[in-house]
Amino acid sequence: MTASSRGVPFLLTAISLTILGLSFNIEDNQVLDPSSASFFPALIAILLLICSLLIWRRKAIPASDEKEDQGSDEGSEPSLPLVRLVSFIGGILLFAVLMQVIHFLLLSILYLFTSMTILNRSRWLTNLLVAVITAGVIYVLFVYIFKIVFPS
Amino acid sequence: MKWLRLGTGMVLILSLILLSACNAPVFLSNEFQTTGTYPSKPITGVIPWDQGGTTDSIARTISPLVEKELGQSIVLTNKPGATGSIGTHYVYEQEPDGTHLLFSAENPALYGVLDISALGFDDFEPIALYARTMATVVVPADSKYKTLDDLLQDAKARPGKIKMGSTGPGGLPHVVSSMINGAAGTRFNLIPFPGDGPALTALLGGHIDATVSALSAAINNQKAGKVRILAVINDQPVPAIPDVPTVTQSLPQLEQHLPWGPFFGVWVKKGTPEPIKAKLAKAFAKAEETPKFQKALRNIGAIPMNLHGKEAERYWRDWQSTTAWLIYEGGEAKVHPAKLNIPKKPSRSDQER
Amino acid sequence: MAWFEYLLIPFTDPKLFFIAAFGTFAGFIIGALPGLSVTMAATLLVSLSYTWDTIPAIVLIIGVFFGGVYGGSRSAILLNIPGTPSSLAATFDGYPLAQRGESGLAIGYATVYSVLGGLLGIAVLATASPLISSIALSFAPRDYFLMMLLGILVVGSVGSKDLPKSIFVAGLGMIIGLVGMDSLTGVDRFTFGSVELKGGINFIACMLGLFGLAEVLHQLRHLKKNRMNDISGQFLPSCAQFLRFLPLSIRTSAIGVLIGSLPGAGGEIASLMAYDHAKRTVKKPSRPFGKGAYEGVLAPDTANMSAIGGALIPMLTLGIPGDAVTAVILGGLMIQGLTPGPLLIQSSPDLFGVIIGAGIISAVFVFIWGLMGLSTFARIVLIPKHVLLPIIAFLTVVGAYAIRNSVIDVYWMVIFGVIGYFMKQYRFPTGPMVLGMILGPMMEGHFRRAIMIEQGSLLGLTTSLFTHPISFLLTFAIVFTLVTQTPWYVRSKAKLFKQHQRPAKIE
Repeated sequence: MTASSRGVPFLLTAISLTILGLSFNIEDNQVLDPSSASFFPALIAILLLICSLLIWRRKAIPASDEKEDQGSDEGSEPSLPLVRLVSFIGGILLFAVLMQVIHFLLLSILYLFTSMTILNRSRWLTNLLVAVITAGVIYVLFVYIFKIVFPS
Repeated sequence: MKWLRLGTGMVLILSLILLSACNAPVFLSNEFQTTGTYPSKPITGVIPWDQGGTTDSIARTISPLVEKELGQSIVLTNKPGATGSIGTHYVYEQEPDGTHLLFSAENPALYGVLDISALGFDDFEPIALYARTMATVVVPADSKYKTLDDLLQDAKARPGKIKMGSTGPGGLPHVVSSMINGAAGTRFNLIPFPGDGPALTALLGGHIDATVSALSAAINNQKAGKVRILAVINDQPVPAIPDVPTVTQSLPQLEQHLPWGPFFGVWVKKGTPEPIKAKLAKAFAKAEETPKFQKALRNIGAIPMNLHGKEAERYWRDWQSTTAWLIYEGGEAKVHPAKLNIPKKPSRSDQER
Repeated sequence: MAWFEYLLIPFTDPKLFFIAAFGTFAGFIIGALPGLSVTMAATLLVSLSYTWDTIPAIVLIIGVFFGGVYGGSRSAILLNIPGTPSSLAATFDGYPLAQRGESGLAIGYATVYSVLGGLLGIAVLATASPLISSIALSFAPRDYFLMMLLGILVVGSVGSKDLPKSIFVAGLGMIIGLVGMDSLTGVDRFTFGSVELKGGINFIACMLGLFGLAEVLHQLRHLKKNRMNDISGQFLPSCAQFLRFLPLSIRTSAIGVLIGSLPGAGGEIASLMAYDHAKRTVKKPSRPFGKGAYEGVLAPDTANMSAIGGALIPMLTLGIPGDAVTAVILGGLMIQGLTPGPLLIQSSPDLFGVIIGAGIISAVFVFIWGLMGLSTFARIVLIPKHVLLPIIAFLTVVGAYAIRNSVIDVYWMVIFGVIGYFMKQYRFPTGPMVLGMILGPMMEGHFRRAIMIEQGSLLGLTTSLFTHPISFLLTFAIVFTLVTQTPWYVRSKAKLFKQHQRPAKIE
């Protein structure tokens, strides 16, 4: 567990408290009336709070089965370069934004080709072929058979 | 060197794709829409309710018939959620050029009073109102209530104890029970279900005492001996079930609100050019008259209306006035109807005076 | 039994036989692709059927129904993307199996037992539908609530060993599921005044993010290294293995039919309950659950396939849809002039017979299409990561969009993909979150209805838990589940059955 994981229980407690606060503020509802719209969310928020406190406590004395869990999984995993993670997520978000501007087929070929090529630069021709075929098949299937209306 | 080759390759391919894209007319989105050639591209029909509901079924029956009239395809998509306001909002966000149609039920008329959305039918213009349905009050077949009067008397004797199925604020049972409460001075324990199907299921299982159901479902279950229809919410008996009394036989003062029931139609965003509206209205009118559509409506227990333009406008405004004030008087309105400029219809007894 | 003579129609009419086969194939593709749902396909087919006869249209829809429910497990096993919500549970053990190089065998298990589940569901539909539908009707809102509560307790099985983490995640999922307009009173909850949030956060989009995209992000870390060079050549379970899991699969099929027949509860809940059942009752799984147990693959698959027969029961006997697909079929039948309702079986025995016949054919074709090209499919896990990962990411985007034709759902998918990645990073299980999203809103609605039926009294609800047989049984099951999860019970059991704790190996 790295230093940053110490922030996790804190975050969880903050989330539970926020939800609890929000449940009390649901429009014209009594939290204590079990049939109202705010009773159940408040109940869950309290449950979340209890769990976050339990997790908090558990962090101080690491549970034994957690270690075992880690060991059996992958061994030592290479950590993911932050740049790669952020750029991949950025790429998908860009795809979602541009979906509303650029024609879908064109955009998906572009997206598939660029992300494949960025991940492995050596085989761009295969990448292009795979990109065109995948995007084409999906496009025809979704638009002509399932009548999905893409935004542009 | 490798980088250079790769770069030129990519640029070449990209430009190729772009070139081919520009030549194909399909790729041009947002093309200028002239009214003369309308509809020059496929129309999107938005259904703000789930697949399989009445709104959805009627829309899917009429749209192929309209396609034939317009010579252009209508692609239907469901955008359900929040009493239909998600889909309604979506159509409102589009250009008013007749490329997006809203296949809606009556609900947007009540968005204001129930504070569901800032939008409403005021932001749209009706192309056609094609059908309406009727409501019935039903109880399980083995219920102790033999007539509507039995039910009302018991409800008066034990206010808030009779379990009545509902579909949430603004839904059919909610409005009907407000109507009855106002006239008979009763109070029901409304149990909201996610739709009239689940409410009917609970009724069949004996978990609630009564519910308000659409006519067709009620008739089918009565024939099978599973439910008893106590009354139809109409001022005249229904031909399919002539023996069932109308609600006005027990509560004559309801006559001023009747006929009342959910209605279905198609809308466009306000500001759509007149020629486009006229063309759409004509196509829908023709489609509505086809025997096929009439038969489909009969099959699902709906009554054809075929209202357009001013008539349609008048119909929904009248409906809105009746219903909004009924809900207000039942104490369920979140916003006062007068604040939304919904006029109160003078009741018939007032007019006679 | 007037319908019996119509049972053979789809077998003898080559046109109908072909339609059923084609429908199953089309459904398979629909189910396997995320975002395309059987509901969507059924809607398109029903409108198509306005120009067709009723019988071929129904046969086609039944084919798509079977194929679609089955197809969902394909992408769940191979890509960790549940193609349909009901195949969520298939990712728990199916994906780990595929990662071990046993993708072919995982699909083989899923296929064989899916066919079995589908056939058992149809058999129950044919023989016991009046009985089942009367059981389904006697479920009061309070019983639905108890059942959902029992479903939520599944987190003990699908989550990690760290229970507080699993419960936290499930609770958070429930809150996310509650976002939007409350259908009972119309008030907004957690919407912050946004119009888009009023309609709620689509749980399928979240599921695509938490499972599909999060896994892609997770895999980005070791691009070069492919974990295996080849896959195992065994595709079908041996006869002995088949017989070994037969009792379990019959039990999970029964769970599937029963839950499927409850209006408003379908394959997604059935498969989770079946997974839970398997995990609780199988003492010596082939591998620990969650790491690639065959039982963990076949239990949810039998249950969601048998839930098809279950969902058709209330539709055919009561005229009430058992799930979204049957709601669409009902709408179509009404337009056609048939009157769905309690009299349907008497008034149109041909329809009932044909549906059963078509169901049998479809189940058989699930087997045929499922095994066809299996070795090619199984090799998907061998595709180089730099090609596969962008394609999966692309599929999650398209799938999220296609659910409601909405770009907002794509944003949600990405957001939950990132959340899912960090959850994995800090060893929080993602399964309970989706579970909470699916069950939370339903559970809450039923709870409040139950309270309202008791005139708002918690005491009244508590007493009726003990005065009604179904409620009492469910309460008992919940208490039992809770007790068996307490540490002292686990410890005392471990002492008693020490020698049974080691998982047995099978080869």
